[in-house]
Amino acid sequence: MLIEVLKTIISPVAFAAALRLSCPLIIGSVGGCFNEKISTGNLAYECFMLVGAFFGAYGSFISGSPVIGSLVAVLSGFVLALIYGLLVYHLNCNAMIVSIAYNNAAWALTTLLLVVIWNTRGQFTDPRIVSYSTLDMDFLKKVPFLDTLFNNNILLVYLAYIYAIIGHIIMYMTPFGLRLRGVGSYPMAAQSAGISVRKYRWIGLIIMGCSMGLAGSYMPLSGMSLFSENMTRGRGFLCLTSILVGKGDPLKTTVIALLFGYANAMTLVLSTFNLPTQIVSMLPYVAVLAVLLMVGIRNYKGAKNITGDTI
Amino acid sequence: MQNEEQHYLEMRNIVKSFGPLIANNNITLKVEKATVHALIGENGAGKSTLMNILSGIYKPDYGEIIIDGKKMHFRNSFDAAKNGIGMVFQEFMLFDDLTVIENIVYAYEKTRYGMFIDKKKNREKVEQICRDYHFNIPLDAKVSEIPVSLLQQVEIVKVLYKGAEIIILDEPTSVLTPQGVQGLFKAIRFLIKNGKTIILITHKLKEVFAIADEITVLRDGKVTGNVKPSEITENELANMMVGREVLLEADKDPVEPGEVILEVKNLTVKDKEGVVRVKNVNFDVHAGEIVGIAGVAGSGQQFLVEALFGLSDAEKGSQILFNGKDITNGTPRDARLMGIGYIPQDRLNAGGNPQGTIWENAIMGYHVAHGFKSKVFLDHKEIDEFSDRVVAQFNVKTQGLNEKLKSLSGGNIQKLIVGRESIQDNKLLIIEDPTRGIDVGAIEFVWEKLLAITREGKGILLVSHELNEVMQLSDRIYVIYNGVLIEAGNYHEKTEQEIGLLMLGGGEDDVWK
Ligand SMILES: Nc1ncnc2c1ncn2[C@@H]1O[C@H](COP(=O)(O)OP(=O)(O)OP(=O)(O)O)[C@@H](O)[C@H]1O
Ligand SMILES: [Mg+2]
Repeated sequence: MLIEVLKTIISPVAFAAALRLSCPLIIGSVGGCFNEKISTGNLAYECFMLVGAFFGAYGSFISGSPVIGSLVAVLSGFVLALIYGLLVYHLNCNAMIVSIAYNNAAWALTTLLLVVIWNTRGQFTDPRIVSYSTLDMDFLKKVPFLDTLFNNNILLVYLAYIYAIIGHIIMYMTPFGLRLRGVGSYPMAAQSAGISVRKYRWIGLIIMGCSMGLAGSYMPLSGMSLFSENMTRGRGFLCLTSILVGKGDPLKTTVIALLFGYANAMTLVLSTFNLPTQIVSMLPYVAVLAVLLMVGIRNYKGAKNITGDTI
Repeated sequence: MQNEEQHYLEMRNIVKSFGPLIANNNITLKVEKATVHALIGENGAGKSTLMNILSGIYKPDYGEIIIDGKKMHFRNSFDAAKNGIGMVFQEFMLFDDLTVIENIVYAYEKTRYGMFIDKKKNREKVEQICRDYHFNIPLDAKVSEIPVSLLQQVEIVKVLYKGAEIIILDEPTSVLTPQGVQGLFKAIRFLIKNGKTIILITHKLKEVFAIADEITVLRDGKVTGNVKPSEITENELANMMVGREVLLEADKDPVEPGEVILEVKNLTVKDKEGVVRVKNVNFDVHAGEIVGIAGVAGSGQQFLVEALFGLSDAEKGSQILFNGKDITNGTPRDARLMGIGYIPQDRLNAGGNPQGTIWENAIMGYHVAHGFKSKVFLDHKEIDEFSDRVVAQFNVKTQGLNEKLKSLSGGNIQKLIVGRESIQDNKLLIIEDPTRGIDVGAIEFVWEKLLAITREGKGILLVSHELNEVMQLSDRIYVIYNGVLIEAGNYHEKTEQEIGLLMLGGGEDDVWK
């Protein structure tokens, strides 16, 4: 039995599932890196993703096209970011409070919309919510291992990895990225160099909002064709964790997101065994703790200077 | 317009006020090309404000700026930089998380395909500047990893990279060691030779005489003098700045040391990377005396002080006794409660809260330790009374107790923090660089205060990069070099040269063991 479990854990199928399940985490957290690097204090990842999921479903439902669904989701993230920026940058609301309000309101809002638009509670399943179809690439068919790993995924999955690379290029190879990192590191210095701090904060925030919206649209449009209450179930927070652990570096963040995706995949592949589901579904969260613990241990020496725990 | 004489840079009749406070009151400044022009004056005299106007950060309420006969209207700092004005700020404007070269090219990157940073071209240009002006800085290191003297060079390379012709240095030497200052002056002379113009703000009169071609003195927002160094003595210049006689010497009497307050035995401290920064240090401080520790920055004094105050961990075997009680690896809070005051080197961020008000900063750290502890709520009458006392006794120039700390001038922040710790009823004061960045009048004042404190029977551990200060004030002198503490005699026992040599590691052989 143990051997079987181990074999399953490292099987190509498990890895393929990990690559797939990481997709929303990667898209969201790569965009979120730009938010993190400018230190907006925006923690409302769960909200952006859940609202994105709803509007992804809705957009696809009314248009019959998953691409349009995703675009509507991106738009919803954009609008949420606009409101957030208005509140925090212009009306000087506390970023933490706005974030908490956002995250709490998201569940209520999407449930309300579910009732108002589709007149149902809990879950709405309908074939009119058209999912992305999987891309079947012939040339991969002949390579057994890679075929399982990479073939037959939806467009968004491939996009996620391209997104990570583009994110890295923008962050570290363009003037824009450099300036943005500077604004986050020491706004006063950026200002003295003639950079508009507020402009860059806005851009970082909007990149995050749109990306999280797009990431949210993966949930309803990846084959299930449904939207359910609290569909994201903490994935927004996984994005945030990936970003924090990856220190806002798109590639490092992607690696962490992959790890969470893998833990998520475990809950799927292990469900075939007779393991207690409660334990299995704890895996992603245990993974979060394990990662935080590892990072914590690595940084432990000298913690006295940083945390000021003696005060 | 009378035009008897054309100057390279002229700031005419500049007026700038912040609310009711007139920081610059009709200031006229004339600077010749390829010279060093020193701008000196008391804390809060308006020097930084004037330079912020020249570099386009503030708009003057009135007055004009003329460069090479052309009238300038700077809309912002970009604009000023385009016209050849480069400013190195009192507080460094560098990004800790970015590398040196990223900091230098920031916002002025050369690009490829109009999209990507052209790392090669940037590097070539920066390296060219470093070669031309003899700067030697590690371009790929993170800013947070390199020493302060190099940060300064980074700032200068940064303004050169932007094509600065007029370079403003706002108190560049206050963070430097003697060698750092020499290095900077060498660079300045080189820049002058290459036709650049330097405006230098400083509080150190010796430096003015060493390098300036011309001096403008400000007091209370007005020009009180415009002289050449050859026409004036150091004392006359000091008087011009402060408006009264100042002594440039501390008035120190011999003291009778009392009982031991602080005893340090075999103190060893390692940094985060496990490198030994303080090696087996032994010394004590008696009541009523000042023990001075001189040393080049980065010799371990920071770690020594942090360990004493409980901010860094001491290694096994170390022992720190305060009034006979073991406080090794205690917490800062314990230290304060027991009566140890601490004035950290980084006044703005470790010593205070820039966003906080004057009164908040005046009671910070003592809200539980002394005076204000018996009540659940803050007693504003008592706080105001105390804050007023700090402000008045230490001559802090402020518009009111509710002003934010960050809007004070650099030297006034210093005075407030030094005042806070000095007025408290502490038995031991640990002080790092008490007079960094403050004007001669205020230095005289702080020195007197410190001597008065010891006369009350308190002990002071003085850690300073300013050798002169250590020599003027300390009853017993130590030098720290490479983490090792070396005895350097009693008050006036050794000469400045002898101690200076010890600071550079030229002392007894045991330093190298
Ligand atoms: N942004 C601001 N808001 C309000 N007051 C200010 C501001 N900037 C400066 N001041 C005030 O203007 C006066 C002049 O300040 P400035 O910084 O020019 O002094 P300084 O000559 O550079 O002094 P120091 O040697 O201490 O740095 C001070 O009283 C200061 O408190
Ligand atoms: Mg100043």
